[in-house]
Amino acid sequence: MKIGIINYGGGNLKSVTNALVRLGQNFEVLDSPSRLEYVDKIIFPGVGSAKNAMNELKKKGFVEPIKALKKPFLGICLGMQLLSEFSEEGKAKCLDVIPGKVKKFQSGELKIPQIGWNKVNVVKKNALFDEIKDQDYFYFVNSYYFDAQIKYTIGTTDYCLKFASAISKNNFYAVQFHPEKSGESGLKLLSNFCNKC
Amino acid sequence: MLIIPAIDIINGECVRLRKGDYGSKTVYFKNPVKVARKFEKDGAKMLHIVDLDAAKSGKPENLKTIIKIRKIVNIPIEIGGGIRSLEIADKYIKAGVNRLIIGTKAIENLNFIKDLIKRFGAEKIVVGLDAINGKLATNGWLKKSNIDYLVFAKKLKKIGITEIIFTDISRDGMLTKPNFKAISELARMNFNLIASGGISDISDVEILSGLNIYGIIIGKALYENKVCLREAVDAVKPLTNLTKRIIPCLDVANSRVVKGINFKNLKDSGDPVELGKKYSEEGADELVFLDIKATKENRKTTLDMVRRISENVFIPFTVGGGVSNITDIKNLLLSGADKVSINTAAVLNPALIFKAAKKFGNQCIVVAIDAKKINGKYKVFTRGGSQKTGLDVFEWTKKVESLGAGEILLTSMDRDGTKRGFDIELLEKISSAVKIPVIASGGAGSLKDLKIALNEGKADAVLAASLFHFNEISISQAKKYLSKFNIPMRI
Repeated sequence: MKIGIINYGGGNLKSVTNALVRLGQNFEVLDSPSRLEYVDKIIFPGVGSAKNAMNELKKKGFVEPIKALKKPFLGICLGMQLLSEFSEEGKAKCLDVIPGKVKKFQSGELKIPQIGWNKVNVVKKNALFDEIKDQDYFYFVNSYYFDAQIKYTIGTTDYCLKFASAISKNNFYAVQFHPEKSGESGLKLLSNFCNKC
Repeated sequence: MLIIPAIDIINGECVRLRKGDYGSKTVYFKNPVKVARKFEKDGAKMLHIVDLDAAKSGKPENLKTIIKIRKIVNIPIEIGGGIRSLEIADKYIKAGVNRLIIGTKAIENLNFIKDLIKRFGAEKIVVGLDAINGKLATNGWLKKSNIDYLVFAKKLKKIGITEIIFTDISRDGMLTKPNFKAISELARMNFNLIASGGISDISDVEILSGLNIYGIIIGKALYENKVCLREAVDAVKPLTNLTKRIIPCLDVANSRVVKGINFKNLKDSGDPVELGKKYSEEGADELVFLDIKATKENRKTTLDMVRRISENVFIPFTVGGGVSNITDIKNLLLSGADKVSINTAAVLNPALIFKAAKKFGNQCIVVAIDAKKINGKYKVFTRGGSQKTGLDVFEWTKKVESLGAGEILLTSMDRDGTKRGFDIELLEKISSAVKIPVIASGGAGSLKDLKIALNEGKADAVLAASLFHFNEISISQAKKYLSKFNIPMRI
């Protein structure tokens, strides 16, 4: 089995590839959509701003092929937010794979961005969280959150409000935190995606 | 967590009822608008307004007063009472009301809630669950149903409601105690939960704050001066489980981890790759790597070293030293850094912060500030502490925040390596001045120093080098110690 990692130019792929090396997974970095058919599962890491990332995806011709995917797909951080309809960050029209919009945290009392380790409440059984305990800590870095519908939410996290920190719809999975940077629990989640989703 | 003062209106006046009984009305103020303004001034972040006339009649009876309140306060307001048609809901939304509270009608007809969500979005709709002995009540609490509130809450969850207000009628306006059991049961269902009814003193507020709920509505206790609004606002913790962070720092020169005192007299402390791996496995929350001679020697950060460290580190990894342009940042990210720390280059070219934040996201850009106290004023230094800039630390911090920095790594040069403790005066001043996280650095010498930096210094994270490198204290020892003082830690 081979994992494809989408490379749109802005993201930090090294952290994800480091984690996959540690897990002993075969993988390929995908610079073009034509390579999507040669892998079994896809990881979509995101660092950067929504607007920029969408522009890069468009330039490289990734938009339509991603939307049409039937293979297991995992969006990470911005990669989760880009699955939405729209992001307030740069007023970006996104991939529209999972219903809902991406909004900025509104807080008078908490610092924005949220940076650090926060708990994930697992609210729905999902293979992604197999053998991961409820309320385990994962590493977050975000100023925006995906205001997702309950039916697609598998994990929530408290920051100013309860927001969806893990979602899934059909073959699409996404997490707001960085599993590749969340120690052992994060590696477990990635291994679940590779082996169980 | 939000403290939400309640304003109940009958006949244009600000009143309170006992257990929802209209016969028990007490008028507290003639003018609810003035009350609203006072609450805002005292620190309320949202107002809970109920048109009790409308709750009975089913049509808005105090709309004019509500519009006046909306115009005069800047905080969000939620309105309840008699919202039983889309037309009425429309009227309130058009008047600028931020959230509509639906009680009776939600219980009678769940489709009404679905229609509201469709029309205004789930974020504008709050369902009020008014319960007595576990069953829901309707029509201004005049009627009782046979519906269990937990069963009903599950239905709400299914159709997409994210926010509910739970009121225990038997306690409302009675200054008894809130129904903590019911509230924690609902909180577990993952709603943004607002608790209401029965708050009698500040200790109730403190207990509710511990239940990690979204907000608390306080009514009678405020009007009867049993709870001071400002005190309540200060008593509650923000809604989050975010932990404070412990960050070991690798200062690297000539491929070795070194540590000096006041940025001088460097002493060898080990191999960076080995140390990085060790900290990652020991439960450090993050790792910082600073190539401390890069800027001074006019060269770039050692990419190969960054790559090798990152391969063994599965926690966030920040790299700094010699970063001077967008290409440098890109190269570091591609080599495995998660964040990049900019120091000298940011001072020389502040636009770099803006450009980098725009290109890579704010969260990626850490601005490192080396501060030294000169004649009672904190000044910014660059080039590994060797160059005085004349910039004021406080103003520079505000500026880098406005330019888009995601985090501040604040080092006190006076304390660095001395183990005399962090410069708390500097730290507190900077942490309170900005909305972005501040990492305290320079001077950690004991566990107590870490605690003081997080509590009194209000830092979001503490960075230490010598303390950890020479095995004086392990990461897990530090975390255990800090969690004993209720500082949230990932253990």
